[in-house]
Amino acid sequence: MKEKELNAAEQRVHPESSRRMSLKEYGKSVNMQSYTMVILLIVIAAFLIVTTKGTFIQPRNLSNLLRQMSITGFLTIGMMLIIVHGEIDLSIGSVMLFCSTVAAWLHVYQHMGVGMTILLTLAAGLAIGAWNGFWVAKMAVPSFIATMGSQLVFKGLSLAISNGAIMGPFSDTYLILGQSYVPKSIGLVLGAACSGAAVLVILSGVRSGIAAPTLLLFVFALIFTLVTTKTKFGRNLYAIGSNREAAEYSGIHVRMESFKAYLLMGLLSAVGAVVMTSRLNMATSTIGNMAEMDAISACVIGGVSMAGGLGSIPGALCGALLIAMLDNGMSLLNFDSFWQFVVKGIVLTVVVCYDISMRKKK
Amino acid sequence: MSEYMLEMNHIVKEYSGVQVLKDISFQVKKGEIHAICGENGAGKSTMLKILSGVIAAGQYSGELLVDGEKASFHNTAQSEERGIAIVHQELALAGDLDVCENIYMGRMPEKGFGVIDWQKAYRDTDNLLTNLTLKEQGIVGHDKINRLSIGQQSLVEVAKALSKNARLLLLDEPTSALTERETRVLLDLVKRLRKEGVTCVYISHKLEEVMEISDTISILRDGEMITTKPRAEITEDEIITHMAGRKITNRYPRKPHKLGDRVLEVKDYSAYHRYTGKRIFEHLNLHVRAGELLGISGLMGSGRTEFLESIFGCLNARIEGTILYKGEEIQTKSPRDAIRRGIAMITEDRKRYGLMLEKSVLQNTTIACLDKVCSHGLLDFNKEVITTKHYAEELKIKTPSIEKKVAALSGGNQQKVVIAKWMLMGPSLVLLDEPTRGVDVGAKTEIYRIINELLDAGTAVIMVSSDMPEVMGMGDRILVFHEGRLTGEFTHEEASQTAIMECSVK
Repeated sequence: MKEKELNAAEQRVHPESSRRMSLKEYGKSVNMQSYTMVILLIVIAAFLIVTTKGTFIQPRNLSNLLRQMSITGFLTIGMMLIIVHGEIDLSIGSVMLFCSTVAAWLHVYQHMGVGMTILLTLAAGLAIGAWNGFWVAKMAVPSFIATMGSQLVFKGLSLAISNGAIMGPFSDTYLILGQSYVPKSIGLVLGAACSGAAVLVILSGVRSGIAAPTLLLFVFALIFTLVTTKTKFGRNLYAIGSNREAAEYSGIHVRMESFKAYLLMGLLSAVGAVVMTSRLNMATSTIGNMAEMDAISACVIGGVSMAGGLGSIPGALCGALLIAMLDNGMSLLNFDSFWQFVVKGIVLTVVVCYDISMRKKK
Repeated sequence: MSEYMLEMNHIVKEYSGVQVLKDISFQVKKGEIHAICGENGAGKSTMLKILSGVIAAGQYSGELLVDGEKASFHNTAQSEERGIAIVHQELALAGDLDVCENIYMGRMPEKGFGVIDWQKAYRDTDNLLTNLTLKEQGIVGHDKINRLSIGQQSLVEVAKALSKNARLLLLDEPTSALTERETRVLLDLVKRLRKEGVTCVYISHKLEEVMEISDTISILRDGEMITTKPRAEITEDEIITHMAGRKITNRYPRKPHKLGDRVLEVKDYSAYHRYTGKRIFEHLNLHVRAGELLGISGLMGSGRTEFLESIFGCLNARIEGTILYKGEEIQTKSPRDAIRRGIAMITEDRKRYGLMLEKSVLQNTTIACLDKVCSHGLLDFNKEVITTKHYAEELKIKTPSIEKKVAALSGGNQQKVVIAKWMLMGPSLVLLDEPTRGVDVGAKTEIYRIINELLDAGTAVIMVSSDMPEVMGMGDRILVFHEGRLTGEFTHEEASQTAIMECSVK
């Protein structure tokens, strides 16, 4: 359409009033859910503050909490891209394990430099993404099956490389990513610069600053929020999740977009692996165990519809935060790990149940 | 006992403050066929939902009487108990099960301990099908639903409703997907049921049918009951006037257009089933020019839809022959291919192929042309809003807001959203498959107007339709398909119903 026509149209429909209306309504549709999410987070936080006698709210613990959340966070972002276009990825735990093992093998055994190690690990993640994407997008194997297959394949390959042994330690430089803190001053500037990231400002008051993984997650969250809301690729993913056939008939290259989403999922799993190994200073065969479950739970709790087409990155990350809070809180309360499973399982089911009943009412 | 099978008194139904039914009162006499006509969004479906208990008593105000007794249904089971059965516009059959299993779904005869008495089930089905003379239509209890035609499936739905001993049958646009012959069978069945004392409420857009079978006609407009009259006292034109609330002087506003070059031409164009090798269509030679509307008529299964699909790149078949597009030989391997070349297709099943029902009008409008609403490579929400508003205005899409889910719009408005999507693209060739199916009279006229605008802009249009007057009324040239072959070609002036019909059956 020509620019002139557009302008004319704009004048005809009184853009000011009408646009405000639509934005308002847009806000309404989004907010209903985020309100419940925020309220839930506050309620759980309040509960934990009381039961831990304030330990939970201490800056040190909050900083810790966010750092713990960061790895689930990377995976959650990737999983959101997958679920929103109507697929699933059950392999990410194994992929993270594989990438961790690769990183350790390259760095510890092959004495490769930090940069090269990270680069090659990320490349491995991309390659696995391509592998999954090939089976799901190109060969049309149901994603549940294809990625369950990958789960086994990469778990097996990891064990083949590591022989089940613990691999480490990494060099000090490598550890910066997972263990360092961004200096206070930069943290303050960053925190203040990012409006709405009041959390960061608070955390920059911590003795040591913001944990590097937290900052990295924040950056990724921003990028992928932009990707999902502002790019054609992002919109196409929503379209595919909403109605795959209509998307195809609207000229969207469904298979290619799906393939790209799996590539990104692979990449994000590898990022998770790098941060994880850097934090642990080793690669063990328990890395990534049930990580896919946490990421899927985070998405679903955060309002990403399993049927596809609905959800947002901030929402999914709120879900990840909720899970991290539960983990963290229950550890503080000295819950046995088996009770942690039970509580997380029940929370997941109840939250989704509530969400569905709310949607029906609407 | 009451003279009326059904009475509605002062029914008011609101959805979030908007009155969909405004003080509706109407009566259906025992044993009559009572037709309800109205545009989409007039409130017909809401009425049916109240009658069948989908909208529970208490969610509307007013009184419902069945057989002179007050009725308050909270679910469909309760309405079925009182002898009310409904056949929905969208068929609700399980495709992988057979006819018998579908008819007795959820209430299979048992031998005890939950074991199904299959013998009795099939015997009962057989009796039912015989009584309704459906066996003559080639339907038997063991047929899988998927293997039946849409027409046969509708008949199974009716049989299912009647197997529940329905005394009041509600039919919601039962013939919208049927061919003329299938419609014939269904109408005959409804007439025969009347003789057996079944009362019928019949909703249809097809006035010819309504005039043929109904005893009484009620007209609903914008949630108000405009009039109820015996059939003998009303004419088709009056019905249309009442429905639309305005006189539609020219139902098919065709006008001659300036014809340009050939946009599309196919030569010796054939498609065969990939595995069985069965002919889908064969040896087609045809063309369409810029600014020309080529109408394609024919019965269902004649290969006309498949022809459009093959041009649009979404027919999974072995295709032979050549497609010349703007003088250049092309192959369309996917809809993406076709769209890139400026070919748009409005599919028959818009809910499945055309729309993201849970997404907004805005997202549906821009999805095929996101490039046009980007600035600096990123989606520009302002541009999207402005563009969508522009088309919503131009196409007169009735929606409270462009952020509304399309699922909440009426059929006609949904179709306009699909058209908006393609107009944004600025296509050179538009393929229309049953563009006015399930669309009310008012919106139909709107759609014809839009088609005319496309033609004025030099777009070539191919329109496939089962609605013969529509093809004849709008087409500059009319082709007739029969079993995958081109059997007739007429100019607008030459075409007559009998001539087209002759070509489509032999």
